[in-house]
This record gives sequence, C-alpha cells and structure tokens, in this order.
Amino acid sequence: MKKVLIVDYEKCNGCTYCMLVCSMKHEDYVQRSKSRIKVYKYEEEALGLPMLCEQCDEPPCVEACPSNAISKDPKLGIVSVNQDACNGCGVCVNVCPYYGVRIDPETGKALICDLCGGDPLCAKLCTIREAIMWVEATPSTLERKRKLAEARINELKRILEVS
Amino acid sequence: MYGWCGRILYVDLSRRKISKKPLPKDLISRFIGGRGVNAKLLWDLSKPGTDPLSPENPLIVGTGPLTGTIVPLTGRTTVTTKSPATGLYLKSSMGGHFAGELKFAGYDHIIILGKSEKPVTLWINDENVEILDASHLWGKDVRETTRILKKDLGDRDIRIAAIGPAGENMVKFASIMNSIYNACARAGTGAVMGSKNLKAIAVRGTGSIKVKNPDKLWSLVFEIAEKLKSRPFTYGTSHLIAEFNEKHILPSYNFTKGSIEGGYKISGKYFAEAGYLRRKHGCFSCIIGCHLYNVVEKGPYAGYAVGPEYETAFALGSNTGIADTEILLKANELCNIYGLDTISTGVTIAWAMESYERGVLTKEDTNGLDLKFGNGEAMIKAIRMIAFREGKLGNLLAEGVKRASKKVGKDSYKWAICNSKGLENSGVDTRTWSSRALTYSVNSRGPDHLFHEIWPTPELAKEITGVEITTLPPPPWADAKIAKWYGDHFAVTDALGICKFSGETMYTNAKAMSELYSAVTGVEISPEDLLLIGTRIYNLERCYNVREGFTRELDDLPWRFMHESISWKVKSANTLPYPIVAKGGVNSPEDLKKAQDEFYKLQGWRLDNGWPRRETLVKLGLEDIAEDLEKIGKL
Repeated sequence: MKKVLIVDYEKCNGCTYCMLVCSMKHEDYVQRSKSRIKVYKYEEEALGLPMLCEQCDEPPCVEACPSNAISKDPKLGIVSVNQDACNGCGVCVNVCPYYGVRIDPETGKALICDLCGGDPLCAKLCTIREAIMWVEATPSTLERKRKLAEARINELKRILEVS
Repeated sequence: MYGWCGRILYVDLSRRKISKKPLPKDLISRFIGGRGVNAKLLWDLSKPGTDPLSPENPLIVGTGPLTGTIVPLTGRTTVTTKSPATGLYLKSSMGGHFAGELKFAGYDHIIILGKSEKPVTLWINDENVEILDASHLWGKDVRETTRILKKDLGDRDIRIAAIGPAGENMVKFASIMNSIYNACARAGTGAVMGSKNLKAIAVRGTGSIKVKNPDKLWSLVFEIAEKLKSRPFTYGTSHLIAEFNEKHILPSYNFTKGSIEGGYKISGKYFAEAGYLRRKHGCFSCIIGCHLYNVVEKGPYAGYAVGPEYETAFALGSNTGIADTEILLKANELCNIYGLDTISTGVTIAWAMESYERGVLTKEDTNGLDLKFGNGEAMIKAIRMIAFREGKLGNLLAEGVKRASKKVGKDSYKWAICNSKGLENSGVDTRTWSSRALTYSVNSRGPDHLFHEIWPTPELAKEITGVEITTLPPPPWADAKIAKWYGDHFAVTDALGICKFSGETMYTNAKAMSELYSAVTGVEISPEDLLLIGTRIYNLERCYNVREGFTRELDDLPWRFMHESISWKVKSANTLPYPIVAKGGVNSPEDLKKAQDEFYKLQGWRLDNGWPRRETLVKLGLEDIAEDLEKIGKL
C-alpha cells in the first residue's frame, strides 16, 4: 500500500537532526543547505517547523517548471527533479505552498524530498518524538496529513512575521 | 579532516585582531576536543595566578569531533576559563544549538583574549569574522539581545551565545546563554565574558562536516537511536523532583530537610497536568529533547521559557521553601534572561533566607524584603537585585555564598552550602546520597554532579568494582573505583561533544564511544585507550588547580554536610543507585578522608596535599605538564 509522510509540528522539538540525516543520506556528508527538509526555528517559543515536500496530488511545482524538470511518480508519490533539465530558475520555490523546495547553493538546482526512494530516513530516525511519521495512506491519515500541513504552514507564516 | 573542522579561531579583543590557525594534530590525539583540548589551551595560554576577571584570562569555547555529524545528542558546547567564583579551573558546558552552528562555520574552538574598550559582539559568518559594536545591546536581557541581533544581522538562523545583565555586572555566578534558554551556568563563565565587554557571539555556518566511514556510522546510529527509545525523559529531569521528594532526598529549606509539602507542584509531571507544558525543546541533534517549554498565560507571574530542570526546581523551589509552580516558572525565566546560574542563585538566596530567619541578616540588609523561607515574591525580587547588583542585598548575594558569608560573619559559613572551593552545591544532599560525597568533594570545579554523574545499578557497581556490593554505603575503595570510572567517562563524553543523557547508549559506554569516534574520525582507538584520554583530561584539570594554589583542604564538602546529621528519615534508603544514607547521617571528615585516600591512591596523587605525582603524569603522557609544575615547585 502507498505510504505518506506526516509531520506534526507540535511533537517537533526543533533539534534539526532530520536535516543532518537528510544531507548525509544524499551527499555522504553533512551540510544543511543540501537537506531536502528545513526546520524553521523560533527559539523564543521553542518552536520547530519541519518544512518539506508534501507530495501534492497536483504539484504546482510540476505545473510551473518552465523546463519540465519536475515530475511526480504516480505509484510512490515521489516528486523528483531532473538535474540535467533543471535550470535553477527558482519558480518551484516560489509556487510551493509548503516552503518545501530549496535551491542547492552549490549546484544551483532545485532540491525536493525524494522520500529516500521509499524509506524516508528522517521519519525512521525521529522515532522518539514521532514528529515525522511514515504511514499508510488511508482516507483518515490523508485527512490528518492535510490538516497538520495546514496548521504548520499557518504557524510558519506567523513566525516569519514576528521573527 | 573527518569530524573536526581542523581550525581554531583566535580573537584578541584588546587589539581587535582576529586570526585562524590550524588545530594541532598533537592536541587532538592527546585530548580529542571540547573539554579536553580546551583544558590544554587554558594551560598554555594563561600564566599562573591570573585574575579571572582580567583581560589575561582566556575564555575558550570548544566543540567535539562528533558534533555536526549524524551521531545524535552531540550538541554540547564547552566553555573553559578560570573561575571568578572559585579562582580555580572552570569548565561549564551547555546544550542548545551553538556548537553545531560553529562547526558548520568551520571552527572547532574559539579563543577569546583581552578586553574590548566598549561592548561588542563577535560575529562569525563562515569565513567572515567581525567585531561589531554592541552598545545598543548592553543592559538588554538575553531574549531581547537575541531578538535584536537576529534582526540586525538579517538572518533568523543565526545562533547566539550571549550574556544578560548578570554577566555585564560580573555576578560571580553569571551564565552564558545560547538559543536563549540553554545555560553554560556554573561558576561564572558569564562574568568572564562580561569582564571582556563581550555581549554576544553570533554564529552562522553553512559549511560541511565529513566523516571517515559513513556506512559504519549509519549502522551505529541506527542502533543508538533504537536504544534511546527506552530512555525515560517524558518530563525532562524535573520528573525527579516528585520521586526525590517522596524518598526524602530532595534538598529543601537550605538543606535542613529532605522534602517539601506539596513538592509535586514543582515537578515536571505537574507542569503537564496543570497545562503549563506546551512542548519539548531539543538541543542540536537531540532526538530526545528533554527540556520542557512552559507558559504561564496570565497573572502576576505570566511568562514563558524553557525549563525548569531538576536543579532549577530544587534551587528555586524546595530549597527556598517555595513549592509554587508559577513562581518557579517565573524565577526560571528571569534567571534565563538575566543570565544567572539557577543553582547558585537559589542556594545563595536560601542562605540569605536562613540568615534572615536566624536574625543574622535584618531588613536593613535585605533592602526591606521579608526574606523568609517560602516567600516567593521576595525571591523574585531578590533575583532581579542580584542580576543588577541592586542595593545592599543584590551586591552581597551577587558574590555567592562563600564571599557573602565571610562578609556577614556570625558563623553564617555553617549554613553557606558551598565547599572550600567556593561553588554553591548542586541539588544533592550527599548525606542522603553518600556515594556522591566523594565526587562532590574532589570535583575540580566545586561540589556538583557535572564531573561524575553517578547512578550505578547493582550490576554496574559489580562490573566496575569486580565484586558484589553487599554493604551500603560501599567500602571506600569501591566508592573510589566507581568515582574514577564515571569521571573518566564524563571527560571523554565532554571531549567528544556528547550529552550525558545519552546514558548507557554513549556516556557510560566506552565501547560505543570508541566505535563512533573511529567511524567519524578514522582514528582507531580501543575503549581502554579512550578512557585513558579521559583520565589524562581529568588529571590535567587537577594540575591546573594545583598550579593555581590548590591543596587538599579544598577537597571538602559544605560545613553542614560534614558536621550536622540529617534530622529526618530517608525512605527506601540504601538501595543502589540511590539513596544511600551516610554513616550517622553525616559526611564526617574522617569518612570523607578515607574515601578520598582511596581515590587519591587510585589516581596516583599524593595523600598529603592531593597533587598528582610525577610518575602519574608521565604515565598519562603529561610530561610537559609535569615539567611546568616542577618549574614552579609544585610537583
């Protein structure tokens, strides 16, 4: 059965470990700007908001990419970037409603969560807090995912305003 | 390099000179990093007899080689300097997010020397390092300072270590805070930073950390993450308050009682039940996240902060006779934003309370405060007075209990809960947990738990000592072995950058630490050799104290612990790991001496004055230190 990532920011402690794991997995070294997930922190309130690709049903980044470099695998739900085709224009960053896309400062290409090919390590290693979970896609988990993503984006907009 | 960045940042505030130098290979092979390398740098960079608050006292910041890799719970920053509270060795470490950021900026250590004429901020932005004016920040609390600096520098991902008004005013127990709520608290690191007119260090790092053997590291990390699941940290360390209160080992009323009525209200579980707890706060790379973020919505004590930890809840709760949730949360918040060590603040105020109740201090001395045990409002006012050195009371207490009791006289040293080194005792009454008496007395910094965090189960005690411990308190030779075992592990943990709350997954597991160290750095090392480095660091710290005038008399406990028996009954006493009531309910100087003699022998230290012997230092690869000591006639 298809699985989805669920992120519950109320459980996130803002440790940013997922960012370290993500870059290590993809690059074999740790560099946070290479991470596909970014934790926005608001230290005054001990808040951490992990932002990453939400695997939208109809991803606006796929739609908007002028180079047709982004595609979504219908089976696994993975959104991927064709590194050769990407020209680093950043349109995807701007259209993503979840602050889930970043540009790699070294390659100039878009970075989007690839679910580690179907076994996301951020979820695997956030086992104590369970802020990031990898769960089966049922109508109820999908509804929960939608609600949590919405709450998270609202909270992010608030902290971007105050900090 | 793998693990390490391989660079030290030197900052001379007097000359406004900044330089970057390679981290010497010899230094890391002997001392690893963090606490270890810091200790050697302090030795090399300062002369004997340096005034702690003078420009000549170096302030050294260190991280470990594991920080910034995928090893979890490795966000510790160690600050090392000469303590203005004790005039002795001081290492204090903090969680938060500073260490990781510094590593990504490309530095393992920062050495700060000299003194700026005007308040400044050190701004480390990867390669670009600047000294910025901080006149507009002087007088501001830690939270405001953090807020303004992030705005000034235009990046919310900057991590900041700052002092509050307490550090500016050189309160003897001022802390350095990072990520607003994480404290490098003990023995006055903040006062040293204040003496240099350094308000804050701001860091932003975008670089990378490489590891030697990624595959091996992944497998070790998965194993650790799995085991960490069983670490019980639902309510942080403050969950211990309720348990210790029930067992009557919770220091209360300036260590004259072992419990307080209604103590549950200052424990972590209650914060959750009563709706104060909002979420958990995690330090850098910590998948546990043991800190509690609490909010008081309204009323006179409305506020928000991370904490309190066990130590804070004891110091500003039971020990001052105040079992009030909202007052505790406010007191914790104030200490955080003013930059005060909560332990010393609470123990100092409790000393003043006892002095007041005994008539040794009067309202004239307390600026009109009715400073009785249990008066929360008075405590809140006293905290502010200490941080700003306001009035007679603020100035008296800002010096800590050793100096304050000396000034006040009238036998008040008898209830000043510090030992001869001059640091306020942390939240363990060693009369009711006597396996800690030895470690509290020999600790290079002063009587606290952060050089040997001792919790041996019967199984572990057997493993360490080689025999089944059948009588409690354990025999002195067993106490000594246990103390050394923990001391060595602690030093390695601090050198690598690991948090003690990793418990048996890393802190008390030399095998795991050596495997992680090898996978990250490529340096193959056995658990035994790693612990030998721990012993080396521990002995170097001892040598620093010897150099600065240490003699055996300073290895003692607070007068009260050595001369007054406890007047209450401890529940479920004499069960490892705790509580273990001392013989006669008192840490008698005779019993303490017996345990120390065993410990000194085990360490290879002289029994007459507690100094390490030459052959001990040679065996530990500290010949250079031995030579230095010989030159000044201290070997």
